[in-house]
Amino acid sequence: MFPPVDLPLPAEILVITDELSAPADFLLHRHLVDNLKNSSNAKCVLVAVSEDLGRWKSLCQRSNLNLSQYLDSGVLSFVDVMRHTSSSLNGETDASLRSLFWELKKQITVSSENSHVPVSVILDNIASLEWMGILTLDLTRFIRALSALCRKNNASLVIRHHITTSGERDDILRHLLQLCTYHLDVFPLSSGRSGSVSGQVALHCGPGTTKPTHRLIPRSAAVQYRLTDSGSVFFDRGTGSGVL
Amino acid sequence: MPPLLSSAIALPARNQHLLLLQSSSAQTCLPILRAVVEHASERTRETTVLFCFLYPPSSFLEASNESRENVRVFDRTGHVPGYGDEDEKMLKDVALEAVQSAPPGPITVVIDSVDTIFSDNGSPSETIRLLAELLALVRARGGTSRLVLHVVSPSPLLPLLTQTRFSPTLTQLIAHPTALLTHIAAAYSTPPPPLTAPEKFWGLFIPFSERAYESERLVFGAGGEGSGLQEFAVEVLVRGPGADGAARRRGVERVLEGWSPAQGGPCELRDLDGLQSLWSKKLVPETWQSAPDPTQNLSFNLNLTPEQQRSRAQVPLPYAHEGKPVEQARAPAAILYDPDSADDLDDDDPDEDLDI
Repeated sequence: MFPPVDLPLPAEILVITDELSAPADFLLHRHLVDNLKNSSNAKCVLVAVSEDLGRWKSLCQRSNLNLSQYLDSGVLSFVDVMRHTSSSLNGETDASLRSLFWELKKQITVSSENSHVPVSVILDNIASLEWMGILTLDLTRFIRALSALCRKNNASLVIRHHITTSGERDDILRHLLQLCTYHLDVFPLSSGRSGSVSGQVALHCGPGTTKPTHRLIPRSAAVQYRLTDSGSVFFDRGTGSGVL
Repeated sequence: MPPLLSSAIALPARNQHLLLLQSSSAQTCLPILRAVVEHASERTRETTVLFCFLYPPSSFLEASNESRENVRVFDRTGHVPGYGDEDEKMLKDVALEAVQSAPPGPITVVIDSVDTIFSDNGSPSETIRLLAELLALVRARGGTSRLVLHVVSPSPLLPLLTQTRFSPTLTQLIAHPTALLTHIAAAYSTPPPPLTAPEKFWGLFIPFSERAYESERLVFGAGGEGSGLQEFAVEVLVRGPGADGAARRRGVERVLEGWSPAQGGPCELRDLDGLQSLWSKKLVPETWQSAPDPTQNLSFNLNLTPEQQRSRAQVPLPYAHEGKPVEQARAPAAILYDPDSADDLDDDDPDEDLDI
């Protein structure tokens, strides 16, 4: 079954990378929907940089999930990063990330102290922050602090990062890969666009992961997926005809 | 003779006080660092001090081992400049105090990410100074005391840490993806020793492996498997006397060994699954001597029975004159030429007046 249900577990960090021709939006939506629907007492913190709440609401509607209801009940918190970082576009960038960090710390520690509920934090995405002009050093420090915070509070963290040039790794991604427990690698078919296969997904483990609990999937044996109106369908290479 | 890698991990030599583990974004060396920490923590007569700046302590020790008396863990992953308490103690004071206050006897000091210390203080000289002070404290303890450092290349600290000025003796373990060795064997026809002469191999391998983008391209580019492979090759570099104290080494000894969880950790290169294709002998088919026979392995019979051959020989061939010479008038061979109006035909030999 792909992707594995318990990916990531509490205190684990999952980095999802995608490319322009194979975006990983469907994985983030799937993760959010699974968290809200399946666990009765879960708490989610959705930290959005480039997409606003309206888009998330309409996408979750397709999975019969009413986000407003979860927002009102406090199960889901939505943090708009632009509120913190818009001031940094003129001057120093470090202060805006710090204010974002303190807000996230408040959200995560309050919920974990109150009801010992596993918190799931979704950060979408880091690349946009870098493109906005925030310094790489400030971003890496923010990621380090956020990872340590989630680990300390037993929260799971999902970070999405866009790869601009296929096959090349930028500094932020190198840093993310050092910190992550698992890395979901979404990439397009090498033969170009296809009507029946939208892309491929591989699963790697991070350097600090000693005994991976999930079956790792190298790029040469990547699972293929196809986007549908209601979600996504996964199948192994060469078995598409049985699924599609 | 035991492989250098396993002795570097489990049996530190008495004079080798610095162990440097080098990862890259293409291949991590952390499994080896974990093995080093585990082995050190099991030596109960020695103290192990572990400083975690980037990776959580669980990456190196089981939770049960963290609470051992001879193991002291400093989890500084949450100490990020600008994101913590402003009045926390300086790292230098914490680190030096931790080593000085350890019980007497051999000590193993492990730093999981030297680059993070450098990133926090922004000064290579300050970082090197701190590490040099730690190394001096470790060396003063003598015995099998060691300072174990982990670096991710490319790093500006690497050339400073590998200098003899920093430490005359050094054991350096560099992790390389197996894709690097298969690429060099395929593109340059140079498989690793002993299949190739060591001088030829190292002359090619060292500059190629030092270019980080080449390894990244092989791992992350088209045709790459991505990072996180459990098996990898390890370049072991030992400067100074090693574990086998009898061999007084001059200069630097450099070998390539392997790491495979399936084999229990350190292993020979030939035991790695990803490199099996290099070691298997390929028989070159002798196609130039005998072309493949297309009449073999068919589902129908192409051969003729003797009766069929006899009746075939009796079939008259359509060319009626086979074997008989053509009879024709024997005319002498001649060239008949009719000159036109522009042609200056002269039967004399134009070269008559030449006097050579």
